[in-house]
Amino acid sequence: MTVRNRRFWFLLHGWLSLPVWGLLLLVCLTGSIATISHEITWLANPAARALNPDGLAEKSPDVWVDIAEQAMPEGEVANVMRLEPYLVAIVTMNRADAAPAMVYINPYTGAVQDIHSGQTFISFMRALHGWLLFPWQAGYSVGYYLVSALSLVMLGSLLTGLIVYKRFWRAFTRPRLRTGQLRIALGDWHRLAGVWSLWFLLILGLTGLWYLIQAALWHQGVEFESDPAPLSWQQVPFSDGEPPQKISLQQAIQTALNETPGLQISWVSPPEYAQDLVSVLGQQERIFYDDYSDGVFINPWSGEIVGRRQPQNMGALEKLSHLADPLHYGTIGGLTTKIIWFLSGLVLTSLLISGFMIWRQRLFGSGKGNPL
Amino acid sequence: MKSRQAWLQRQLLRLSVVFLIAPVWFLYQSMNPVFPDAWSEKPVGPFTAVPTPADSHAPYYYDGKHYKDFSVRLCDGCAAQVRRAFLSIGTDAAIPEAEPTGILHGSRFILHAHAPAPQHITEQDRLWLMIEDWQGKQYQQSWPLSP
Repeated sequence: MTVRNRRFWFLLHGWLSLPVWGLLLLVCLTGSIATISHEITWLANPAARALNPDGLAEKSPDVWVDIAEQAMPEGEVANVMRLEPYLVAIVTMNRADAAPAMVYINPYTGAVQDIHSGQTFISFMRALHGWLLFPWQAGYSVGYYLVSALSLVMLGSLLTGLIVYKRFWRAFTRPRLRTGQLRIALGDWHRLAGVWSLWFLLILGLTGLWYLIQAALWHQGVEFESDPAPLSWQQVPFSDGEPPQKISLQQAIQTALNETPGLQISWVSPPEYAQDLVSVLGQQERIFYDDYSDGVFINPWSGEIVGRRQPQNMGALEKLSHLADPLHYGTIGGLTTKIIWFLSGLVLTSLLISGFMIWRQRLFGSGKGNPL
Repeated sequence: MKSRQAWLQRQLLRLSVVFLIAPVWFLYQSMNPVFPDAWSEKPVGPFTAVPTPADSHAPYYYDGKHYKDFSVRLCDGCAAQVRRAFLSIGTDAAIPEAEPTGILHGSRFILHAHAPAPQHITEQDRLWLMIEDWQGKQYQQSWPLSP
C-alpha cells in the first residue's frame, strides 16, 4: 500500500467516529454499565435481592401472581417478569388513577420485599443506552436508529483500523506497550487494545447492525414473528347474563408448565382485549437464545393452547431477533461473560478516549489550544 | 489546508457533543409530562366514556394508514361489561371487522386505542366510539374533534 493510500484510510478512520464521538462515548459507557445493571441492582438495592438462606425450592410463577394479588387486592396484573435467579420476581399491577406498581417478590420465600413505582435502574440504563431516552413514535424511535447506526461506524472503524495498522496480528504475537511518553503510550494502547478487542467490536458491530435492520422492519410494520394471531370474533363467546369467565392467569401458567415442563418462565402477560391471548414466555436451556424464545399462547376463554413459540419453528429474521440480545448483552455464559463484556466495553471506551487524544495531539500539539 | 480541516473537525466535535444534550432534554420531558385535557364525559348506551388524546399532533402514519392515539376511561366496572369497543375518526362510525384497528385495549382502569383517522382531519370528522356488550348489543357515541 502506498503512503498516500494509507493516509486516506487513516483520515477515514478518524473521520468516521469524530462527528459522533460524543454519542459513541455515551453509548459505549452506558452499554458497559447496562451489561452489569442486574448485578448493580443486586448490590445497591437489598429489596431486589432474592436471598435464599434456607435453600428453599423456587415457587411457581402462578404463586407469585397469588402473592401480588394478596399484596394489592385493588390492582390488576399487567405482567409478570423474571430477570435473574438472584433477583426478585416482579409482578406489575395496574391501578386506578396511579402509575402501575411493581411488586417485588422473593420467589423462594414468597415475601413481598418492596412495591415500586416508576422506572428502575435496569430499565433506565437500557433506555439510555438503547435509544438515548428519545420517545417512541409508531414503531420507531429516532434514538434507536441513531444508536444502532453507530454499528456502521464501529464496523467501519474496525475495518479502516486494520487497513492502517501494518501487520496488526503482531499485536497478538508481540504485544507492545511503551509507557515512557504519553503520545507513544496512547498510540500503543490504541493499537493494542483495538486489535485485542477485534472479536468484541465484531460481535457488537454485527448485532448492532441487526438492531438497525430490525428498527427499519419495525418502522415499516414488517411482521416476522410466527406467534399465533389473535382469536377471531367467532371464538369470543357471547353471554345472556354475566360476562363469560376467562381462565385465571394462574391457570394459564399451569397449562404452560404442563405443556412445556422445564420452561423457565421470564414473562407472562394477560390479554388486553377479548381477542387477545395469554402469553407465557421463557427459555428452555438454549444458551444462544434469549429468555423469550420459548413459550405458549393460550385462549383465555377456553384455556386451550393455540400456539407455541419455539426456535425450530422460527423464520430466519425471528431467529436473529432472539439470538442477538445474548450476544450483544454478554449473557450467554452468565456472570462470567457479563463481566468480560463489561470490561471489554470499558476497553472500547478507552479506545475512543485514546483515539480522541491522539487526534487532538496531532492537530494541535500537546497542550496547545483546546479543540472544544 | 490543515487549519481549515482543523476548524471543520472542531465544529464536528462540538456537534457530536450537542448530541449529548438530547437525552438530558428527553429525561426532563419524561419527568414532566404534559397531557392534553380530557374530553367531556358522554353516555354510550348504558355506559359512559371519557376520551383523552395522547397528544395534540395531527394523525401519524404507520404501515399504510393514519392513526391518532387516545386513552378512554369508562365508568367504574364497565370495562368488564364490554365484549369489544372500537375508536375511529371519520364522518361516520366504522366497525373494522377484518382487523382489529382502533380496538380498545388495556386494563379495567384505563383503555387505549390507535384510532384509524384520515390524513387530514376536516370539520366534518368526529371521534366515534362503538361499544358492544356481552349480549351483542351495540352502542355508539361521537365527539367533535375541535371542541
